[in-house]
Amino acid sequence: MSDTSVRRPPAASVIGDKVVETKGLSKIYGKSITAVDRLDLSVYRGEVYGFLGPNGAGKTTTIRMLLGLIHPSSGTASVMGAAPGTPKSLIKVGAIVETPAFFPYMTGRDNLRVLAMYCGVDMKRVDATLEQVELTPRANHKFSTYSLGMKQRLGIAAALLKEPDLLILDEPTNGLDPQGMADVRNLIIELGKGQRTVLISSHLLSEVELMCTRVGVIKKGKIVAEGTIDELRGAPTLTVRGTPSDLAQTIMVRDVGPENVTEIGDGSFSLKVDAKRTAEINQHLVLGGVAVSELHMDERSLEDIFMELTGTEGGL
Amino acid sequence: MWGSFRGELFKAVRRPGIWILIGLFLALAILLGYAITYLIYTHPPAGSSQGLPPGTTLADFKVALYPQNVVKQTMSQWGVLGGVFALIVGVLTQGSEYGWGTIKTLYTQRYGRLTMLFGKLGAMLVVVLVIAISLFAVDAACSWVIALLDGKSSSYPAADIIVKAITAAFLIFTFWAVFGFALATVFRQSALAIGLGLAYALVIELLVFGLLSGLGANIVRPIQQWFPIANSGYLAASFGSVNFRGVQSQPAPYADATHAVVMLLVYIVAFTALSAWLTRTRDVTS
Repeated sequence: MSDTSVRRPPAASVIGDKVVETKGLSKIYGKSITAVDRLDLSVYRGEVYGFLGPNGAGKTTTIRMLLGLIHPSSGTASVMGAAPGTPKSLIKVGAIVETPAFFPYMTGRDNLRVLAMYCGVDMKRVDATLEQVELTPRANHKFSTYSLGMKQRLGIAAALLKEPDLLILDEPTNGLDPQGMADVRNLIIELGKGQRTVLISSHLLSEVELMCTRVGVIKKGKIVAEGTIDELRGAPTLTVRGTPSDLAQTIMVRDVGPENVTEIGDGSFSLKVDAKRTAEINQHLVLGGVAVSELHMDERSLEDIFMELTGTEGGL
Repeated sequence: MWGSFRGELFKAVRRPGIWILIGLFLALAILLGYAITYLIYTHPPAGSSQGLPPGTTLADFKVALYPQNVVKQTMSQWGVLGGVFALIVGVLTQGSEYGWGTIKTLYTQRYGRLTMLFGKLGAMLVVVLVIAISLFAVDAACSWVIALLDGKSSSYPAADIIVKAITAAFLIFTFWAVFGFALATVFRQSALAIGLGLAYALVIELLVFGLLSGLGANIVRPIQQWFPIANSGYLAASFGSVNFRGVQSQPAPYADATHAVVMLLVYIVAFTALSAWLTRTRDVTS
């Protein structure tokens, strides 16, 4: 399964122009370490795109290439219609790369003022973004005194300073406590509304499940699956166990077709069938003389899909 | 580039490390250059006249501390040594960005890398200029106080000489700051850059040519004239040294000021080019 590549285009409701596009993007360190391997990635306007993968899969390297921090070994990338790291691209992009980094001797407000000068944005944006991330009460305290959660929020404020069309957030909830994670998550959901595009990398599946409209799963530098979470999950299955099992199998094959019935051992079967037909199948089995001992719908979790695709439990 | 320059200047003004460094430098200029020297000259220890020209006492050297000699005194004392402080400014300007990881924050704002670099260098040069001007201001104030204490004339050298001296000090300090900046860019950190920079400024060039001096001045000095410390020294020495009863306090420099200025400019351009090339081509992985 690890070699399977499942890629689906975005749902019609989110299709806009591509704000991020990579073609054959690769990064090779030295002669043998391939961090990103011929990556083709498309993120559309208005999406909250989750970039999933275990530690070391190449998420951060990809994000750094999209921001112009790392030069690709081969392939091309376009971010907001321009080459990564160019002023034309950067002015429309707000980003956090791993842990937000600021000047420790300055206050949160002064840190944002420096960045406002760099970006050429109105100083009024500084207070507005501090308010947006609820950091105003600590704005005049030095960055070095901030907790991890506050640092992360300042990082988001910095990313929002330019009112960017695209937000690139690399592990934005790293190191946060549950409350901090929930706060940041809600903020990102809020930010992702409307036409703004959010590309968020994470290895926290529950987080991605709650925030993202579409996800891409990366393994060893390659996208191995892409689509909405429902698409990646696939259709739910019905698990049935009954005796005698051969009679149960005959009835089920008759009801849903042989291609939708799979024996999974121990007298159990897995049926690809609409959940609405559960009662009907149960009735047929009972009336046919099968003693049904187990009958339930199974839905694969994102965790199952992730482990199936990446062949790892890392990062969970 | 204006936004980058403004941002860097904003950072420099708010950075305690810069003020501590400037404060320490000026305190040393006051204490070592004037206060302690004046105390020694006015209260000479026993036997301190030994080795001096006949009929000369330490008190005669006080003339160096008076306003008319402020340029010679400042350039001879700090023309080279002041570069050490400028070197640290250069290292801190660039090296800290790697240490804090803020290089990635800055590179993802708006400007291209070279624009950022030149904005940063521009702000650094403002700090260096402040150091050069404040050094002369402090020394001028000290010399005025000493002239007042001794009842001597408080007339300063001509304004054009003072401006030339400040410009020369600024050029020397700029070389050291750009050198420190380049070291921090090469090593992507402050600690190693400061260590190597100080080792070069205080030991390496002096030690190498000190050891080579055994070959004879005719061989060593033509080689030495291409090195930065030697050229800092030539430029500082071009303002002359205080004459004590016909005896020059320092030997005449091997090369003239024009040679020194050209060589320092070459080094400044070379180290700036090195920093620019590394900045443009390297990946930011920290």
